[in-house]
Amino acid sequence: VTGPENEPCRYQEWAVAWALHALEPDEEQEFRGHLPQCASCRAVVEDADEVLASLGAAVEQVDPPPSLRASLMSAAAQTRRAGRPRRRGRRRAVTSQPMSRPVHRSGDAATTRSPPVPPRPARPVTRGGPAAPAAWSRPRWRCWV
Amino acid sequence: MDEKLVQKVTEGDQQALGELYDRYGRPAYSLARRICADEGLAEDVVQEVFLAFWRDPRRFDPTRGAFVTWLLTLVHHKSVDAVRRESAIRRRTVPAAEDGEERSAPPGPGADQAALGAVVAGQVRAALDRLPAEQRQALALAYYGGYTQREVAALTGVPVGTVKSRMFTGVQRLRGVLGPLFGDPADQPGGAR
Repeated sequence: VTGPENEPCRYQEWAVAWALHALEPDEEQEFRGHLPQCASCRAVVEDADEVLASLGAAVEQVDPPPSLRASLMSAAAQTRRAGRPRRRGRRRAVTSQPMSRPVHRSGDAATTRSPPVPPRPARPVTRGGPAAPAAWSRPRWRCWV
Repeated sequence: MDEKLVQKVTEGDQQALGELYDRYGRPAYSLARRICADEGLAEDVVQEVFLAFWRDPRRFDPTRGAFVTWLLTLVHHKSVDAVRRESAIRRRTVPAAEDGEERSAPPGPGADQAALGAVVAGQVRAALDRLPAEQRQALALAYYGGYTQREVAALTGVPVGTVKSRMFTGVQRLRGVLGPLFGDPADQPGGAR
């Protein structure tokens, strides 16, 4: 499937759609399997990521509420970091998985923090709930790494 | 600068995380808010993205691009996920022809970085404006609207294959126009770890 760098891959349109996060779930799964094998598609994704991030940076700029920073720092202080267990002897199974696939872990919000991050006190509304369901995390980021 | 902060975060420096947030929290929040159309949801997304990086800084690979690119990509994907999860409701009433009201919005006030960002934003908007309308629309619906290719096809009344090629060609054209903005991978030493 993988050709030379300069040979278009039949998946190359999917590579852009992947960067846009616009594939259907079945396509996304298929492409996820393809990507690690195809340098050409990885290059397309990386180029598209840069272009699309520039679109993201071009939106109207709005200051986040100050409470968000405080909330983030508070949550970070209570968040176990990968490969750096802060409280030995309190490891939990869900956080003890090896780091060989760091980008492939799912359940960012729900399964990898310990102890649980408290609800952000300064923010009145929590739409959707901070304890996101499994669908929250799509274990796809840089999954070829 | 980013490389040093990333390195410090990797070493567990929480203050460095705060500094990264101070640099990029605003664009991250702005993007999340644009996609989510909900401030609370946008806050959730931004916090989760920065926490994900804090939890495992190796998610970011400096050899593959700039930190801000990685960050905004993750913000985008998480925002789209949040929107898809949260609502087939509110946002799905956005007219199909909507292709970027943000493009007429004034840049945020102020600081150096905002001013620099405004220049870049101006270039990006100009590049978008130069795209054929159908490519711009397809990209805007997918990127800002969070629609899948199949949904964009349904919204615009063209075959999925056409949408795919419009998106692909649109991104390639933007890449060509905006290339100078990305012409500095050599400046990314990749030595943050």
